Amino acid sequence: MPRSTEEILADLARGVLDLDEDLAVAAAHEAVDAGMDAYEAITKGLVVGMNEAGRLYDEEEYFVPELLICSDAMYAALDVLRPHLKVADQGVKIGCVIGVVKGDTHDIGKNLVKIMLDVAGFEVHDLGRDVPLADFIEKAKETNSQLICLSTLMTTTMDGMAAIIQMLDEEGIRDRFKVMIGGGPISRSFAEKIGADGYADNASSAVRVATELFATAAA
Amino acid sequence: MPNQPITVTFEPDGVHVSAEPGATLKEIAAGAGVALEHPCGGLGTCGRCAVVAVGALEPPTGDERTMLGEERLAGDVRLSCRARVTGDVTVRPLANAHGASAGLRILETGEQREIALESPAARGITGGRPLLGAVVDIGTTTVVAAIFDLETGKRLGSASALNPQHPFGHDVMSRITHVAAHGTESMREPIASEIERLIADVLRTVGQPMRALREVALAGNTTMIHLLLGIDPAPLGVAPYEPAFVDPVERPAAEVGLTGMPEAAVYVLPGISAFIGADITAGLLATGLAEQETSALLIDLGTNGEMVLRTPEGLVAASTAAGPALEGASIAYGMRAEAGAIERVSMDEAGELHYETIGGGEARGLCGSGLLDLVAVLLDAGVLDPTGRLRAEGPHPLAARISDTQGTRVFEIAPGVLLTQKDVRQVQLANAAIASGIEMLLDSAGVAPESVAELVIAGGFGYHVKAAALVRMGMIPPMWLDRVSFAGNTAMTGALMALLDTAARRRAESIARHVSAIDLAGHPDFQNTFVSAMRFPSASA
Repeated sequence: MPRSTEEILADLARGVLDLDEDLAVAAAHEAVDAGMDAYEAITKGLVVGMNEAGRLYDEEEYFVPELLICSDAMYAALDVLRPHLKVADQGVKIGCVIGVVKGDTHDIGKNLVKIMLDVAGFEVHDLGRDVPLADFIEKAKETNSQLICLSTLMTTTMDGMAAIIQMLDEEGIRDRFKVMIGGGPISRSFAEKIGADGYADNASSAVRVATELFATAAA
Repeated sequence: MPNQPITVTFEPDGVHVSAEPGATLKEIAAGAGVALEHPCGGLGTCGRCAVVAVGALEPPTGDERTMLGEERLAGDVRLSCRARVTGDVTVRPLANAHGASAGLRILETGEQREIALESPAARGITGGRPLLGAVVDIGTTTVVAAIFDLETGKRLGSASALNPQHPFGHDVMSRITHVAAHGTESMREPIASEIERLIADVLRTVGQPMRALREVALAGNTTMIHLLLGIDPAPLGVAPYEPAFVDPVERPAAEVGLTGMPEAAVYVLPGISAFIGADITAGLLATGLAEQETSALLIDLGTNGEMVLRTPEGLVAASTAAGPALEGASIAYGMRAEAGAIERVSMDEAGELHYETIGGGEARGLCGSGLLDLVAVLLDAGVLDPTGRLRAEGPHPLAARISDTQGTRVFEIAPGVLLTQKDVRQVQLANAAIASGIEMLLDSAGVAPESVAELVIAGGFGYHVKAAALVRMGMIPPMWLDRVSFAGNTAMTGALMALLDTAARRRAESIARHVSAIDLAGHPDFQNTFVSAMRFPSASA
């Protein structure tokens, strides 16, 4: 007997939150078979579970492995649902370029932020790690992104962030982008000092900060 | 009208310092020679320079709000790197903070292997007796010097001190950053002076003149050697981490900037790569690992978690970003191995917790070995689950010591000494760095864990750790439990061998040339392996 939409959505969320990829994928197939709207299955199912996982991470209940396994479950289920998305649902997302600045190869923190921004509905372009400074700007222009996210774990490479902001200034395109920074040695005052628009100290606060930046911009 | 003079008083010593308005407590303390620690180098990200400051200060900065929270700010707690004075202020240390560094305990030399002794005359060291030599290990945290008789190999005395570069940041990266802003001399001069001072102190104690000092053998990590020799360490601080310099140095002391020892020649052991330094070469020399027939692994359990694997084919080395947690830093109640530090923790059959402090007095905090013991005990008790979450709901008596306070979960070890959930996360990261490093190093070399006949753990801190705790945390495979030996400060032992015997120097150089360093972060499975290793093993049956 077919189950209700609510039950399937609950399983999509629960599969992600409980680190149960099999459950999430099975629920995704069930959603497709039942003719459910794929966009709704994603936003009211998977995303709900991932946001809840982000909240638990914030509360120190979950740690890096749990968050990554949740995201594995989410992406596996997403692969099932995505082909069924209607074109109109893809909507216009805010573009975002993200990467670890030149000289640094530590990227786990950046990967967590990327997942959470993706879940929050940003269109994320991941440049990876040890990224030449100019590449951030090139990619942001090319993809019409409005948000540039910079990460580093080392004090020796954090000045690269200031250099990127300066390059934006010199090109006279600073006001086209919001720049958000984070990583081990980064502090709020460093962000203020170099003129970044936002600072986040973990993956879930990154989403809050990014969302606020554009809420302010829209207001 | 000129500004009224401002007086800042530092308790408990009651040191009065006059200051300019707008200066930070850190700047004022530094100018007055008051030791406040700044592990992050004053970036405002570690919270460890927190003090209680009462008086006229600028309002708390954003960093202080983030690091301290409103509750602590209301209790006059401030970050000394951020808080700026506007008038008279009295500063006192936080309860349980790092106190006086008296009684700092570190292991000065490791287990003594049989050490070859070459006649000084045979290598051109002649003149009036005694003929003395010094061995120096420049650690990022601690500098150790010991004096030996070159003819007999007899140890006359030793001394140690905090590395004077320590106030500029506790890790090598913050030192490199400091040099970028202030030049190589800003880091070279303090360490050179400190080495000369330590050696002079020991000589004075044993009643010998400086001119009797003829040889000095130096080991240290690659960054420390760069800083001592006045070589710009900038390339060590950015990927792909190319060291400017890992060659051995054999020159008159004055030529390497040690001007206070006119009769001495200096030998700096060769390093291997940016993250595998002369201290590890010395460790290989001291443990004889390089000459061994069977597969064996040397691990320096410290911030850089260096490891060298001996395989039938050769020597492969890697470093892991273990961070400072294993040494008790970046831990809320963490401290160095000094009086009052909990160094051992155990649980009896009734589930009762027992601990020992260094010096036997009241517990003030946790040092590295106590921290690892505690984590192992909490895992055994089931109040710490394999994901690393503290659980208050279980039936175990220790669960009653877990509570939620100030927005975080904590475990009370002793009155006023807590382990926080964040601390456990720091341990998980350090543990995972070493565990995944071992796994990837073995994998890259095609060596199975069971064929590793011996695991040698080096480092002053490593000496006090229990192998069983490492197994319980999943840092090393259970089958290695009985294959672990603790070798102490092998950098000192290896440097001593190089001090006393020219052949040992040539052997060190040959070893250093034959170690290939691999980049674990570039391993295709790096993230997966590292992240999986963050989970602790489930309760043993």
